[in-house]
Parts: sequence; C-alpha cells; structure tokens
Amino acid sequence: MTHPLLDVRNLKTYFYLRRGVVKAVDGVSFRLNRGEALGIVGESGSGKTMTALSILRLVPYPGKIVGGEIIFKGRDLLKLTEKEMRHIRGKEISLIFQDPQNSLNPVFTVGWQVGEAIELHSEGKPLWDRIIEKVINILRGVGIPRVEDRVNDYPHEFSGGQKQRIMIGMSISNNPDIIIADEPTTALDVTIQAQIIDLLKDLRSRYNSSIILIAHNMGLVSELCDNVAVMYAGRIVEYGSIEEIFNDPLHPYTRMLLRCIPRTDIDVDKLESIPGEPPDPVNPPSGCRFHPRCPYAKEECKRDPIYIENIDGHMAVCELYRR
Amino acid sequence: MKIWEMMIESKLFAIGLLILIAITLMAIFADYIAPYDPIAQDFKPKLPPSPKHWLGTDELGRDVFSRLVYGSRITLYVAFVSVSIACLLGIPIGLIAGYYGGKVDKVLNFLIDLMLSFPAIILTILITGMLGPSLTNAMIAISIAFAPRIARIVRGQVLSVKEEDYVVAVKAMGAGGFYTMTKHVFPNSMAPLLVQVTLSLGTAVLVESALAFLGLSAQPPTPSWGDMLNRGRRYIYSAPWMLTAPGIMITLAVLAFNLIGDGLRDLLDPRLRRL
Ligand SMILES: Nc1ncnc2c1ncn2[C@@H]1O[C@H](COP(=O)(O)OP(=O)(O)O)[C@@H](O)[C@H]1O
Ligand SMILES: [Mg+2]
Repeated sequence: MTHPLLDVRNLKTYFYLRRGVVKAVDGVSFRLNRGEALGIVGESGSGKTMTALSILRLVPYPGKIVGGEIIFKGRDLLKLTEKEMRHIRGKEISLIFQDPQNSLNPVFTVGWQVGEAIELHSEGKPLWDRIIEKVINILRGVGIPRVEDRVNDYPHEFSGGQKQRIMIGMSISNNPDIIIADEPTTALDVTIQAQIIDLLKDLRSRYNSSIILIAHNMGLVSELCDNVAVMYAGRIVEYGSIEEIFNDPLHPYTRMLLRCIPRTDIDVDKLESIPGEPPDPVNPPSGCRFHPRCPYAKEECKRDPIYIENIDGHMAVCELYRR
Repeated sequence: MKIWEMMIESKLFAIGLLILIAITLMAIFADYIAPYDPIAQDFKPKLPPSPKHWLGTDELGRDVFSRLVYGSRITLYVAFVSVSIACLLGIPIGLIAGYYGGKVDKVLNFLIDLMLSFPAIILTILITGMLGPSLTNAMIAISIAFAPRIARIVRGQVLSVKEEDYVVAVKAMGAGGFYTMTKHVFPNSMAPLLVQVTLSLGTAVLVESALAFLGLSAQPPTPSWGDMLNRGRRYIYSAPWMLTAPGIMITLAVLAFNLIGDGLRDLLDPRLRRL
C-alpha cells in the first residue's frame, strides 16, 4: 500500500480554560489519500473545526495541540518550524471557512486579496499585472460573472454565495494538494448550497485535489465524498466508505445522523431531531461519550476502554459489537 | 465616505470641522491677519476693546487680538506634534500587546494601566516639573501622557480584530505574523483610533493650555493662549477682555476636536468604510 497523503495519528487539541480543560480534539486519527474526498461529520461542537485548524497549526489561544502526529507527504507537520509551516499553509493545504461574510477583509478589494494569496507563495516578486491576470482566470473559473469589472470591488459588494466562490478561488489559487472546506455551505441559502457543492465537485474533477469536507449533516458529504469520518465530542466514532456508512451504519450516533439528513427543499439543517444535549465539553461522559444519549447504552459503555469494530477499513467505536 | 458627505450627514461634525479650519487658517496666515506685532509692547496697557484694538491690550501694552492669532500656532503645533508622537509610541505598543498576547501583553498592559491611573494633567505636570518648563518639554510630557491612551485603544481593537475570520484566513493562506498584523489587523483597527486621536487632540489643547497657564509650557514672551489666560486672571476685574478672549478660543478649539471626534464615531460604519 502506498503512503497516504495525509496521516493524522492520535491528534489531541485541548483548550485550557479557567473552569477546566476542553478536549476539543481527543485522539483523532484518519488518513487521506491523494485525490480522495473525505467527509468529517458531527454536530456542532464536536471538534471538526479544531481538527482542521490543528492540521494547519492555527489553533487559537488558549487552545494547544498537545499530542499526536500529522504526517503530510512523509513529514510531521507538528515538528516543522513556523516558517516551514507558512509554506504549507495556502500552498499545499488550504482552508475554506464556514462564514464567507467574514472571511474576506473588508478594507481590501477581492482582486487584491486573491492576488495576495498568490503573491504570498510566489518566488521573487512577480508583476502585479501578471498576478491580476491569474486572479481573473481563477475568479472566472469559480463562476464570478463579469470578472474584469469586479476584481476591484470590495467584499461587501458581493453576495454571500459569491464571496464563498471567491474564497474557494483563493483556496485553489496555488494548486494545493489538500483543500479543507469547513462547512462551506452552512451560512448560505439552500439553493446556493447546491451550487457551491457543484463547484467543489467540478473543481475536484478538474484538479484532482484531495478534499476534506467538514459538515454537520450527512446530506452534504454524500454528494462529494468517498469516505466519511463521524465525529462525536472530540473523537471519531465511525469511519467508512460512503456506501458502508449509508447502507450499513454501525454506530448508533451515525444512524441518528442519517435519520436527520435535511431535505433540500426546506430550510432545516439543524440537528435538532437528535434527542438529548451534546455533552459538556469540560466534563464529558466516561467511556463512550455518546452513552447518555444512546438508546442501546449498557453498563459497559460507561467504561474505558471501549470496543473498536474493524471490518475492511469500516471502523466503529462501540460496545454493541463486542461478542 | 467623502469628507463632504460626512459633513452633510452630521451637522455637528461639519461645525467642528469648520471651526478647526478657521483656527488652522488663523495659524497659517497669522502674519497677515494679526494687525500688530504680538510681542512688541507698543501701546498703553489694558486698553479696552476698540476699533483700533479689537480685543484691547494687555497689562504690558500688547495687542490681545494679535497675540490670540499667533497663539493659535502654539496650540495647534503642540496638539498635532505631541499627539503624532503619542501615536508613534502608542500604536506599535498597542499592536504588539494585542497581537502577540501572552506575557508581552501582560507586561505592556500593566504599564499602560499604570500610566492611565494618573490623569493626563497630573502626569504632564509631573513630567514637565521633572524636565523643566519649556515648549519642547511640554510636548514630550503630552506625548508620554497620551501614548498609553492610544496604545489601549489599538490593543483593544487588535484583540477583537485578530480573531476575525479574515485574519485567520490570511494566516491560513501562509501569511506571517508581522505581515498579518500590519497589513490586515491594523487597517481594521483604524476607526476607533481615528476617533481617539481626534478627541486626544482636543484634550492636548486643554492640557497644553493648562501647562502654559501654570508657566510650564512655552515661555514668555511667546504668545500662547494658556499664558494669556494666566495673565488675564490677574486683571479679571480691571481688564476682563484679557481673560475672556483666550478662554473662548481654548473652548472653541477643544469643542472643534470633540465635535469632529464624536462625528467620526457616529459616521464610521466599520462595515462600509474604506480607509
Ligand atoms: N476559543 C475557544 N475557547 C474554548 N473552547 C473552545 C474554543 N474554540 C472551540 N472550543 C471548544 O472546542 C470544541 C470543538 O469546537 P469546534 O472544533 O469549533 O467544533 P465544530 O467545528 O465541530 O462545531 C467545542 O466544545 C468548543 O467548546
Ligand atoms: Mg465548526
């Protein structure tokens, strides 16, 4: 077997707060192969964003990566210097944010900002005209109409969907190996959501980039991803190919998520239908963190360690499968 | 937004700006506006206002109007120079404290708080007292007293701006810390800074006048409003114009800066502004 492009091993990112330690990411492992699209799905607060930010080593204070390895192209990103890391960010791994309303700087034109993304990773100092030429091509490629007239417009002159297209354009501007899209459609209207997903699909087939698509519902990942990791309270509770997850979900939490796929014709994308509250991040339940909400919970579920079922790469962390 | 659009939108801003422009023109064209030499003791002392001496003369026989006109130079000069120096000191301190956080911030923020625990007036009197009374020392004192104010505003702004998605996004694109701080965080911290700078200019006028009043700023015979106020105080009954004229000018100057500052605060919508 060839080496995966990205191999995250036992990643731990903790927040040290006055009232305690939040284990936002608590032992997450997954692999991403070249050209693969991986979905990471879980309720809000499950640690998806922090996993993404950990990969780029941009975890905000007071958060800290306290353990694990992030092997990218054979090198552990956690061992790189800050300067080496800067060459990874945006150039080899790029990130698309959840809320396009706020991910572009309001005081600069969008053309300048996309150009900046290119310039940050250019050898020497290329002519700005050259860069703008590239910017126009990129923005045309992500479906911004009348690009030539619009490169000098400010972010607030674009709609939310267009801003997200611009962000996507920025994220592909240096042909990165991996694009991480953190709930890229959550803040958008339902109709626009479909367009953005189509755009990501299109880019994927055009550039063959690897994608990590973060989402809080299964519907979105089913459109784009090959494999899915289901996250709950800082841990991956189930991992498998999209077919396995949809046809044969193992973990009770995954099953609940699958029952909550929103219909695209009405605007309900909250996971309100999962019974019970998400766990307190400072004092998560012992054992399987899902057990207080799990209809099948048994005494064993409260204990560590919990049972891991692994069949042909389809993996679930659940006591139900202990025989 | 264009300046004139802002003036139409806010009457008070417009009034403040007009007063400031008037005082500035007065300072620039003092040589043409002032009818007499502001220093020469050419006339009878304490002449009341008349067509020849619009604002009368002072106890040494100098034309009050001419002194008032030249006094605007000192006032504006001190205000602009010392607030500029305060910005040169305060902005980097605020940026570094806010952006890098941690221990650096703790130390810098403690120093800022310490200095802010003294009222500006007391601090400047203290500093000029130590350095000796002179125009330069008054400016140094005002700069030092105002730098922590500027630093605090910048720091607070940076603290919130650095968490914005677009700042994280720039770093996610591979930008370095210093670049991100100066290119992206700072321009988005400008609006409250601009307001603070304008209000500080007003306070600087007041503080300079107070220092001059106490004889700690520009030394006689240099015409300054604070010094004129001090002299007028002694002849408040026999020559009230000596006190009233500089008093009104100081008030107008402070008012102008405060109106502009308040106007800016209302007008600068952080989403739509382009700096
Ligand atoms: N700045 C922060 N300070 C403290 N805790 C945080 C901070 N950011 C995130 N967390 C915690 O980390 C956990 C995971 O957050 P996040 O990765 O944003 O979840 P998701 O993206 O899955 O919604 C949450 O429980 C949240 O409480
Ligand atoms: Mg998130």
